Formats: sequence, C-alpha cells, structure tokens
Amino acid sequence: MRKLALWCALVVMPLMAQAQFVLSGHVHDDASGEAVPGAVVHANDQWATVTDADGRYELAVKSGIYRFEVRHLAYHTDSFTVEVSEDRHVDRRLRPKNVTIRAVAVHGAMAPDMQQPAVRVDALERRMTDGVNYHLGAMLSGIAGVSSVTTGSNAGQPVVRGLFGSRVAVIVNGIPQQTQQWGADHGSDLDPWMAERVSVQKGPAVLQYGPNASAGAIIVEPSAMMKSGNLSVGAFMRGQSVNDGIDGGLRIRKRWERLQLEALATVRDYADLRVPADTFVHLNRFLPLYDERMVNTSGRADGQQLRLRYIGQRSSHRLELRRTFNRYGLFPGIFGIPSVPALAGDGAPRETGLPYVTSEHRSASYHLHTRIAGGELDVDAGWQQNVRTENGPPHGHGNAPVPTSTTALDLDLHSFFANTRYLRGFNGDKEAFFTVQIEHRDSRSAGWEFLVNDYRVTAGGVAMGAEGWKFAGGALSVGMRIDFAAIAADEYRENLYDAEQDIIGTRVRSPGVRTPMQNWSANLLWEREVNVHHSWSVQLSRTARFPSAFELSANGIHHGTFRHEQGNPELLPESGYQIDVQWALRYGKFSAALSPFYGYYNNFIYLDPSGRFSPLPDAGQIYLFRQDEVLRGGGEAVMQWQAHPKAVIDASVEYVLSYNVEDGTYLPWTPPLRTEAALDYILWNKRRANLSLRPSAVFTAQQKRTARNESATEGYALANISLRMVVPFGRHELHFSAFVHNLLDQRYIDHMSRYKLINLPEAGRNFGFALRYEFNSKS
Amino acid sequence: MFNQMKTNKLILLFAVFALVAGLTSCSKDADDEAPAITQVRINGAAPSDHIHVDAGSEMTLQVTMTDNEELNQLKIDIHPNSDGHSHDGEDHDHGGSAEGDWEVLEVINLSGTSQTVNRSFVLPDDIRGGWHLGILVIDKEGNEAEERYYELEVENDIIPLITVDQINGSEPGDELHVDEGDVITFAGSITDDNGLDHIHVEIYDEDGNEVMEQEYDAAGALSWDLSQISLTFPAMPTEHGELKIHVHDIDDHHSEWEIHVHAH
Repeated sequence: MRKLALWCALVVMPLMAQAQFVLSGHVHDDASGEAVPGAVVHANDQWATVTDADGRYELAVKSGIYRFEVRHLAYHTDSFTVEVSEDRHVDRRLRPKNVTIRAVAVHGAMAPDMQQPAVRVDALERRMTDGVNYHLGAMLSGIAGVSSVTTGSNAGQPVVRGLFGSRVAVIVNGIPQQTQQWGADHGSDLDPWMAERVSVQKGPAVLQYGPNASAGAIIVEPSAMMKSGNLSVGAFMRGQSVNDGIDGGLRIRKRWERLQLEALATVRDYADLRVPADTFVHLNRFLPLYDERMVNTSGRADGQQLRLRYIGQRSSHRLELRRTFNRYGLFPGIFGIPSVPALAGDGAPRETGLPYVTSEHRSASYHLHTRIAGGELDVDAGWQQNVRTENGPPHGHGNAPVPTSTTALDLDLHSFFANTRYLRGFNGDKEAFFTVQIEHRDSRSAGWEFLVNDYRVTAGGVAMGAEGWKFAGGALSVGMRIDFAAIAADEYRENLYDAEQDIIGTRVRSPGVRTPMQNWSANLLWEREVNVHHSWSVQLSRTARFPSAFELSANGIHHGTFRHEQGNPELLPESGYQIDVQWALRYGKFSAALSPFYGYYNNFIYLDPSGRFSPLPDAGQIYLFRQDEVLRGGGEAVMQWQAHPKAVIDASVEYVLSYNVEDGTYLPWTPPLRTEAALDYILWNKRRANLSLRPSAVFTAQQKRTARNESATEGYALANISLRMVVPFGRHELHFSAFVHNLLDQRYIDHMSRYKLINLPEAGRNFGFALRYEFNSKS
Repeated sequence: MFNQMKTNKLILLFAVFALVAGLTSCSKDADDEAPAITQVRINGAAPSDHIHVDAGSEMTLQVTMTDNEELNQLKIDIHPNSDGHSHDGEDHDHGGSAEGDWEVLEVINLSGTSQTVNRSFVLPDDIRGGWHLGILVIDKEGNEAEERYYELEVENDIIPLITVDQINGSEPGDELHVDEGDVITFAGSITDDNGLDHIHVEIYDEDGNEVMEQEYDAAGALSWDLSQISLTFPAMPTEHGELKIHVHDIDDHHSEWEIHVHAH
C-alpha cells in the first residue's frame, strides 16, 4: 500500500514541477567508507548519471518528489525518495555484495583506491608505477591468490589460485579476450595502461562470464565518466634497468554534456633481458648465456584505444575500438635445436632478429545499458581478431624440403561475442537476472610448422538466478547456467617425402574433431554480516568448462613451453565443485580476511607426460592432454593495520594445493606458499602533495609438490623498495616514483616461470622509475 | 527457531559436500619412480666418457634398462657436436668440431620391468670429429630416467683432412670480413693417406650461386700446403656468402671446409 502511494507520488508530482534544481551527493562503500566510482544513479527512470572518481554524482531535475536508485554491480541496489524543491546534497552508502566473488578489486590510475570490505588492496596506480609490467599477469601478480605464469618479461598471464588460461577469463570492457586459444601460456595482449579499473574474481565465475571463467576472472572496466565540460590530458612514462625497457603513452579525455570521448596511445621498447646466469639447459644440452643476457629477447609494442560514451536519459552507450601490436624476439635457445653460435647474438641488444613473434589484436565492441520494463538491460557485443605469427630460421624435418619463408606459424583468430543481461527487482528487496550469451570463433593456421589446425567453435549459454532471500541471518543468492558448444577442428595431414624430396604420401598429424558438448553450472551464495566487526560468506559452485580446440587437437611444439604438446579428441567437458568461504573482520584501524577454498573436479584437464618420445628432433617427451579426478584446496589470509597516522602495514599469505587423485601426483605449475609484507610510510605531506616510502618483503617457500618430471624449486626472499611523490600545481599534477626490485640481487627460480624448464633464474636487481603528468581542466 | 533450522540445513549441506569430497580423496600410490639405465656397452666394452670410433666402421650398442612397473620407450640420439655444446655442463674438447652429416634419432618400444636392447650403426665414410651419443628412457607413466650422454670421437683415415690454421695471418673465426680485391692467404695443410687428387676453392653468394672457382692439382701428394692458394676476392652480388675448400683424393673420397664471408 505504501509502495503504491509512493509510486503515485512519483508519477504525479514531477508533472507539477517547474523550476530546475541540482541534486548532488556522494556514494560511498558502506563497509569501508571509500568512494564508489562508476555507480549509476537513476531518477524516476528518466534521468541517469554515473558517479565520478570521487563517487560524486550530480543531476539537474525539476522540483518534485523523486525515487532515486543507485546501482553498481558490486553492491546491493540502494533506493530512496527525495523531495526536491531546492538544490540538495544527498550522500548514500552502498552495501557490498558477493564478498567472495569480488574478493579483490584493484582500481584504476584515474580513480582513487577503492577498499573492499575489510580488505585493503593495492591501487592499480601503485601496481603501474612501483614496477614495470608488460602484461596483466605481471601487473596483478602479488595480490593474494593471484600469481603470473611468465615467459620472460614480455609474455605471461594471470594465474588465479594456481589456475590460468582457458579457466581464467580476461574480460575487457565486457568482452572476453581470446589470445590464449592457441595454448595456455598466451596471455592477453592488453597493455596494462589500458586497464583503467581491474577486479579479480577468485573462484568460479561461470554464471556471469561463461565456461572460460570456471576458476576465476580478471575483469577490466573503463574508468568513471568525468564531469561535464571536463578535459583531461595525461602523459606517462616508465623505465627499468633489467631490459633497458621504456614505455609510455598519452591519454586524452573530453566530456561534453552527454558525450565523452577518450583516446589512448601507448608505446614500449625494450632490449634483451638480463638474468644472473651464464648457462642454461635445453634438450639435455648445457648451453652458454653470453654477458648474462638472453639474446634476442628484445621487443617493442604499441597500442591505440578510442572510446566514445553517450549517456542518454534512459540509456547509456559505449563504443570502443582497440588495437595492440607486439613484436618480440624468441630466445634462440628454445627454438628448434639450440646451437651455440645462435646464442652469441649480434652485440645489438635492442635489435630483434629471427626467431621472433608478432602478435596483433584488433577489436571493436559496443556496450548498452538501458532500463526496460522496470529492469535493467546490459548488452555487450564485440568482434576481435588476434593474429600471431612465429618466425624462425627455415628448417625441414627428415627428407622434407627446407621451407622458403621464415613464417613457422601463422595463426589468425576471428571471434564474435554477444552477451545480454537483464536484471529486475521483485518482491521488494530481491533481484532476479537472466543472461544469454553467444560466441563464435574461427581460427586459421598456416606456416611450415604445425601446432593446431583450423577450427571453429560456436558456443552459447543461458543463465538465470535471483538474490536477496533471508536465510540463517544472512542473504542467499542462487543461480544456474546451461552452456553448449559445437567444436569443429579440421583434420591435418602432413606430407611424407622420399630422399629425393618427392611427396610419397601423407599421414594424419591431427585428427579432425566434431564435438557438440553441453554442461551446466550453478552457484549458491550465502552472505551474513554478523555485526560491524564480522562478516561471513559461503559460496557453493558447480563449475563447467569445455575443452578448448587446442586441448582437443593440437600436435606440435609449443614455443611458449618448449615442449611437444598433443591434444586429445576424447576429452569431455570438465566439471567440478567448489566451496569458497570468506571471513572478514574489522576492529578500528585493523582489518583482516581469511578466504579458504576447496574444490573437487571429476575430470580435470591437464598436460601429462605421455611416456612416448616426440618424433620431432627438437623436442623431448610428448605431453598429452588427459582428464583425471583432482582435488584442490588452499586460500589466502590478508591483513592491514594503520599502526600510525603516517604508517600502514599490509601483509598476506597464500597457499594452493592441487592433487591428482587418480594418478597420486600433484598438478604442474602450482604456485608455492607465499607471504608478503609491506609498510607504507608517509614521509611528508602538505595539502595534496606528498612523499611516501614503501619497503616490502616477499617470502616464497620451496615447491616440492610437483608433477611428474616437473622440477622442484627452492624458496627465496625478495626485498623491494619504492619512493613515491605527488606534486600538484594548479590543475596539473605530477606523480613520480622510483623503485628497486630484488634489492639484494637474489638469484632465484620462479616456480611459475617457463624459464624454469631451462633452469634460468629470474632477473636480478632492477632499478626503475615511473612518471605521470595529468592536467584536468576542472577539478 | 526457524533460523536455527535454516542454520542446521546449511551445516548439513556443508557436511554432505565435505563427505562427497572426502570420499573421493582415497588415492592410489603414484608410480613416480623413474626407470634406470643400468648398463651401457659400446663395441662390447663399458664405455669411458669419450669413445674412439672409426668412420666407415660398425658401432654396436647394448643398453639395459629397468623400471619398477613398466618400461615404455628408449631413444637413441646421435648428433654432431659442431657448436661446442655439452650435456653435463663441463667443457669438452674431444675430437674437435664435427665434419660431415650423421644423425641418428631412433625410438625403440620397450616392455616389462627389465630389457636389454642391442643396436648397431654403420658410421658414414665421410665424417670426422666430435659426436654425442645420448640414451634416454621413459616408463609407461612418463617418468624419465637420468639420461646418459657419451662423447664419440670419430677418427677418419678415408677422407682427406683439411686443417686451416690461419686466414690472412689470424685464426679463422665464425666469419671472414673481406673487401673486393682483397688478397686472401691461407696457412695450414691438407693430408690424405692414399694421395690427394685435386683441390677446389669456391665462393658462393647468399643464394647459393657460385661466384668464383679455382682448381689446384695435387698430383697424388700425401700432403698439400694451403699457402699455395692464391685468391683475390671477387665482387659479390650479395653482402653475405660462403668460401669453401673442397678436396678429392685419388680414390674419389672427398671432404670440405667452409667459412661464412661478409663482403663490405
């Protein structure tokens, strides 16, 4: 009855209104008190705006009574009614939801640090300026539960609780990135400078993002809209000593009343990587490393991004074009049969010769947010092309003629994606959602080497769920999703030659695969705030994932892992069950969170030694994709304590165990126990200017729980330090930081680095700097 | 009361989940024991680290392997040591750089917990220098045995031996830098037990086209001094190329020496 009266008032009153007033305010996180940027504020379904970096909103409305709604994906929707008869300032606090799901969020260079309930996390700004990272994995590595599987400094991808590749989706502005389709180590090409806001979902995320997020998701989103009339110009630059690398870019953003245009361009150039070693081992050969430098690992990259955003009265639109290009040398020690002369190099560490990789990503995407029939509709649609070429000195196997081109592999993937999500409130405080997703991928392969043949995948899913039921003193959410996929990989036959190099027949290198598949996933989340100090959440999930075309049909040497990897056309969809628990507490200036998880997979897909040698001379044993029962468990503990008005101490511990029940062995590439502690100390601050110091220490334990033939790694301790300075002058702001990583020049082997396979340590002491200048026409 | 019931349900849900997960965790013992190469005999004898073998002769290899459960494959890998790599991290200088083509990559299927494999290989007539013999074994589960590598020192009294000590007064490196019109001098010798017939000095461009050729008659001599070569470097159509010395003996056995040239 009250609701009906309210609705009557809402409909009738605005009609009588005449004068125009400004309703403004701030939106804050109820748990942490921090600003919430990017929240959508609706007034009577007719006017809408988005909170800025400070969580501020502003709407011009005529006098009347309005029903306002504040919506943000990570928070429960807040609604309130206000009578406007003069300029009003109304601040709101949003209650965070899905504490487990969004356990970690890192926010953008253009936005302030947003704190999650009881868990303080490093700002993206600090991740970008306290170190030099060339991919998302390196940027996010070190967040509790997140590490990075790397091949040198220029290639890698994020690892969430020990899983990566086709189990951890990288969703960039609503569109999943597909660069990992040719093998697990190919990470997203996204330049970290393009990631304006990043959050990490640790734990199954199939319901929201599809089967490629069965173990987690990295979600990259655009920063909040600026205020009307604003112009922002930013320039940034970084450098580091380990590879004499320099990168930087320019970002321009301009907001008109309803329109915002954003342009970003980045460049990067780096020389051969220095590592503290003079030998390495590949294919049982001990080989020299000259001048402690990995010859031909130099490279360059550039990227461009153009974004157009329009906010209408009932809907908002976003159109985005992006291109990234990478060209980097492959260490000749891992390409083909290594030879000592090829390792001597040319004395020009910035030059990149054969073998090298070029990788280009082009994409166009569109996002729509609108209100229909009392609910909210979000549509994401995108096209992307990923082209990867691997070039090397031509060589033939057996009697095969030596190829005339240097293109060993040429992989070209086109992908179309569309996702529609409808969210609507019901029964007062409950919400229901319905999602439809469809995707098509078409990959072509050429070149004189073979890895994976042409394939096409059409996949889709339907999800629905609801949240808001009261249960056991908390709130319960439930959701279910059904996915299907049609995977078609063509058969690949290779020629057989006689001694005269005449073709005498063919043989099947990779069998054709025609597989329709379906699977289901489900989610049950219970959250409870016991009191102002404690909160709990428990999530039960069934996750599902389809084997990738690579896992089904690959058969060749993967230059990212230096191994012969072979697909298995018999693979079935992978499914598992996981429980995620989070307990968070906050007492005054101390906060902490504990997030254990435990999972069981009936048929986990992994690469296992086959017991057969590769027929190729430049490979050892064949590694074959298999499925087994697997148990996984572990978790993270994080704490933060403001020990002094000028000092904040952060610490975290993380651990993962992955055990193959059927085989009785551990799974490969499982990150070791890791502890990190840091002190943020403000040396000096005056108004907006400040100078701070951040020493930190990382302790990584030995990892002896390894897979068959996988080498164990020793524990190590690293010390890092960084100095940051912010100098504002008028509308200009200058940020400077200088850092030293691995201060004690420790020689260590990273268990998650592919260079572990050739016994190469990580980089030694690394000096670097970062500089960022920003101009804002209005503050 | 109602909330209590719901809490109980939640606890029950947990218990069922934990039980299902717990039941599945009864694992079997892993076979992660690597197979072992227990004995290797080359030409009937236990091999030393480096073994002398003759070009054109037969080399016999006997390998005995064991595994706790089931052996699966043996790989024999013979490859030239033309670039100076090693398989144990030590510097070796046995036999010098490999001359000629000879590579063996043979995979043999195994079964049972113990097996002995006998193979023989006929070495080509025209090879000389250092080769590596690798023996690798894996079991059915993919456990890899500690591999064995041996240095083969291939001696050859069939083909001529070309020894280039100096070019233009210094030791030959990987590359020879020359200008058109440069006079190139050699120091060293060519020897053959049966007698040398003729010597060709050839220059090729980057595309493999012959740019220049000289022929010298050795008239059956057992030794021929390289200082007899008189070479003025010609104009090269490409920046890079090869300089080759090709020698035939009176029995038509031949050998070749080459160096990369960079023309300025």
